[in-house]
Amino acid sequence: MNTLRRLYRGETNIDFIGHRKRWYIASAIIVLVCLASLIFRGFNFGIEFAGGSQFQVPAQPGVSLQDVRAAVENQGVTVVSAQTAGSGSAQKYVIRTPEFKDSGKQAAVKDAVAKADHVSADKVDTSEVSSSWGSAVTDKALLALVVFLVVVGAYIWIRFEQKMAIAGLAALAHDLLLTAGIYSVVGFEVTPGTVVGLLTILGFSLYDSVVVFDKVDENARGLLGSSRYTYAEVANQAVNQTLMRSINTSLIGLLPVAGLLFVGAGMLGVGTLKDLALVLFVGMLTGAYSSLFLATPWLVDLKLLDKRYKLHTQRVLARRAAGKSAEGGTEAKAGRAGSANAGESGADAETRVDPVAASTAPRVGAKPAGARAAGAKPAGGKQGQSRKRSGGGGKRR
Amino acid sequence: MAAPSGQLKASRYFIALALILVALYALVFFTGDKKAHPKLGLDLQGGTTMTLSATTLGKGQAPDKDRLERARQIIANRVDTSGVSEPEVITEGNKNIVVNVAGKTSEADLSKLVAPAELRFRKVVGSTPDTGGVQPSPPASPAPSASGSAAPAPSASGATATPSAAASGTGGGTGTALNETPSPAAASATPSAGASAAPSASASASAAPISESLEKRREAVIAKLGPAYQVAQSIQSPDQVAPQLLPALKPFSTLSPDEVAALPVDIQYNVPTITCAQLNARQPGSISDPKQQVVSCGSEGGAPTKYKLDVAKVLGEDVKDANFTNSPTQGWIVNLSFKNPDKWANLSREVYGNGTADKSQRQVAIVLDNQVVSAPSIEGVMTGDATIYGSFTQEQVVTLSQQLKYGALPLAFKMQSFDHVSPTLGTQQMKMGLLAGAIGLALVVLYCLLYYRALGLAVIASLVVSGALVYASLVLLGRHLGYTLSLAGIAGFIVAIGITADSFVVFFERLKDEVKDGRSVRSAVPRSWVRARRTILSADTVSFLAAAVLYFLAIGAVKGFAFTLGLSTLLDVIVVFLFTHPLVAVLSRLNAFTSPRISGLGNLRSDRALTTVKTTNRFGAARTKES
Repeated sequence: MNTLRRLYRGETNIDFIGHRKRWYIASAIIVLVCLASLIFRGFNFGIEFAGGSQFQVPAQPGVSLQDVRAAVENQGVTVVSAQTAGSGSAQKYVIRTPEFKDSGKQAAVKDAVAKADHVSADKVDTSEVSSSWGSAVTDKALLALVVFLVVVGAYIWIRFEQKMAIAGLAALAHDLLLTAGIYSVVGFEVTPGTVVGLLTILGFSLYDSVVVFDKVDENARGLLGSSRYTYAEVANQAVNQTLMRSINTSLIGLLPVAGLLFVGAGMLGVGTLKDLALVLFVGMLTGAYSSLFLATPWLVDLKLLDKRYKLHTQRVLARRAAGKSAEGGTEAKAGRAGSANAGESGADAETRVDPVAASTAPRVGAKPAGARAAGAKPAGGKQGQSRKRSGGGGKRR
Repeated sequence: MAAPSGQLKASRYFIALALILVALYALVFFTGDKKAHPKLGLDLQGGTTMTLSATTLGKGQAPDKDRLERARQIIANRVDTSGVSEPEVITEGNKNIVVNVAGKTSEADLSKLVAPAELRFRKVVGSTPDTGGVQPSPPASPAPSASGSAAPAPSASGATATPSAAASGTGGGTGTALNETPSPAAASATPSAGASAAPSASASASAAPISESLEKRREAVIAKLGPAYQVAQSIQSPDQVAPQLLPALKPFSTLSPDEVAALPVDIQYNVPTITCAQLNARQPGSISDPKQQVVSCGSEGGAPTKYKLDVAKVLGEDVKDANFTNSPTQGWIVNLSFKNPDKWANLSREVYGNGTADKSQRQVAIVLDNQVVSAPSIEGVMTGDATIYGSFTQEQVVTLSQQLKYGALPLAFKMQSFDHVSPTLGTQQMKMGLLAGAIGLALVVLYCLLYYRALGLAVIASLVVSGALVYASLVLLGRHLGYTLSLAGIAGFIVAIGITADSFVVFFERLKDEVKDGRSVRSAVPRSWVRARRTILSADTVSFLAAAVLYFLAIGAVKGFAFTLGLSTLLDVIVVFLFTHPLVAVLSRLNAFTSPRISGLGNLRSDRALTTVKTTNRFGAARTKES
């Protein structure tokens, strides 16, 4: 209840940034598994990649899949796969064969299928693809991918900044790899629909990251000019503040896709709906994960490569140590409850490893002057104004 | 009601939105076919879709844009003449041509479309108007038939008849002119000459023997025709068919195009009951063999004309280049150059002879696929480049020069994918798509109601508005741009529900932030809007970019998906700006709405904060009333 309540109020203070090494390790393991599977197992490619013909007939009472299959085989045609798909009135038999050399044979098989199923020939749905079709679609999709990355990378670069573009695109790459890996591990069928659906997720994944970045951007405005919070803290605060929104976005994005998946995979069984819904479902989940646990932490890491931010972090921590001794509400300016939380949650890996001693002059722009004192644990954020804090604000998780 | 300054004038936005909606639906109901249905894709109504890829014959390269468009026209032409209903032929990407057929077709029918389209230059051995045997006398063509070949037709075509001789003189040197003679019924003016020309030409042409399979089909057709065939064999020339013979020749008009193709060339040409419609619908490639004499149709002065053509001595591959210019003396002309001028010189020499024959006796037909695209008469022996002139419009020379250029690099077609969806499955997919949408929508609505309570109602209202916009756009796009809603398109809309609803989430979460900071709901709305607007625009831009890139670069069914996704994203911006935000602003002024139990916002504050804010809120409300 408490967790939900805090989640609802955007007052969670899960330490996404501070614990980022954990997520990195977890992600690294998952990515390795995915890579291994991609290399050693590969994909289960659909008919569009191998080329071939597909015949679909509504399942008739008293006709088994075996009957239909036998009818095709009696035509001297190899059956690549025969399956029952869909449910209820939409249940059908799906037979796949290799590509036909002449269309006459195809027509003969179609008639045989219709006869075995006791339906008229126009009830048989056929599709035929050449083996080059799948790769043509995929080539186009890869081109689209490159163009998309360039365009969106440029957009984020212009709209936000370079480091956000890099972090966002890196998270995107992770999503792609993870989704591909899941397809490979589980053995879901890969069709051109899947490939293109995957591209759509790119939009979603970035979209999520963009919203968080937007908040980080807002929170970090004027950050270097003041020394209240470190960049990591501000970023963590942004993630927490947008956590509910991220969850909502993912849920609201997933709900319609779930509807699509239910109908596409459950009731129709084969086709575009299923291909799209499945890849979107998997991709959106990975996208939600990466934008929370990877995109912003990477952004922070990138930022801390910048000397200004590194120095700023040290300055803040120094000042905080000083401020603690002089605790008395000098900083009791109105701030967001979330900001207050972030103070302690953002107790950053760096800050623990490399704590900076108090500077006696906690003025804006003052440099910590290198005076170091070990063991000063920053406990900022515990400023006096806890008016807006919920009761459990101090607890983690 | 005097709104205090600084307060959002919601009515303006609502009026703007209402105007947009009214305008869209006015277009839907009062323009075009006035049917308020989007155009459905074949996967939703049943039909066949085939994707052909075009590559240059032999080299396997993707064609350039002009050539692909030319190829599309060739395929469209083939589909049209094969008699399938409502075909739609479009290009996709840089080498694909998609054929959509709503009615019944078999794969065997469509697979005929893939024969390579090749260009041939053939000497015209004889030509005759396509009467279809309906009238015993040659029909009145659009141009006055009484004037014959000598007199100029009333149209601009007549004007060229006179300057053609002079023009060939000025052409001089290497460039010689071909005169496209649009004058009608040329052959009918000198019927005996035309007839006599035929046998001599066939004697000179070393036509290759026909294949065994063709022999078999021919026998079958002859057997089917019975006595009519004997009658046909007695005909020496199409112009000498006695009217009383026509009833006996009637069975020919019932032959299928393929059966017509199996008949000997003389029969195809001589029998007037074999029409151009039948000849044009022969399988693509059925007259591409350069070693055979063939019969093909074209138009002379606007009238359909049957041509009997010699073996092809110059092929499309021999064309080096073709382009068009506007010459001051001859109007729009097409210039043609050859890789191997000798071949062309020989053909023109053979056709021109000593130049004494009538113009209609020295024509060269340019045959593309099954049809004669142009049949200019030869004005001299051409040792170099050639010029085709004759009262063309600009459009005509553009087409002709493209057709000739195309011949230089013929395309081969390969079937890439073929999908036949029965109407049963189509309807089923349609239902399923809508069901999926309904489930998705219901889940989102339920979630929003639970989570945002009264604000959830704002979400639902916004989704309804969005739906109304989307639907009207679909109908209009289908009507004016030929956009068809496919199953993938429906999936796009369903996924877009998430995008649309998410804009509201961004806004409401911001609102919650502000309220949590101690603001009244009322004062939080404008503040949160300013910030949410930025995020919504950023996020929508990224979604839209993804959709746009996909739409322009992807091929196959998923294009429809990208399209609807992009469309919904655009409409989402309109809905959020013109509807959701003003609606929430209005709601925030209602006291009832700010109550925590209804809006789901109030319980954000801790008890202490709540009481404080409640008082301020009351004050705020009171102040407003006073002002």
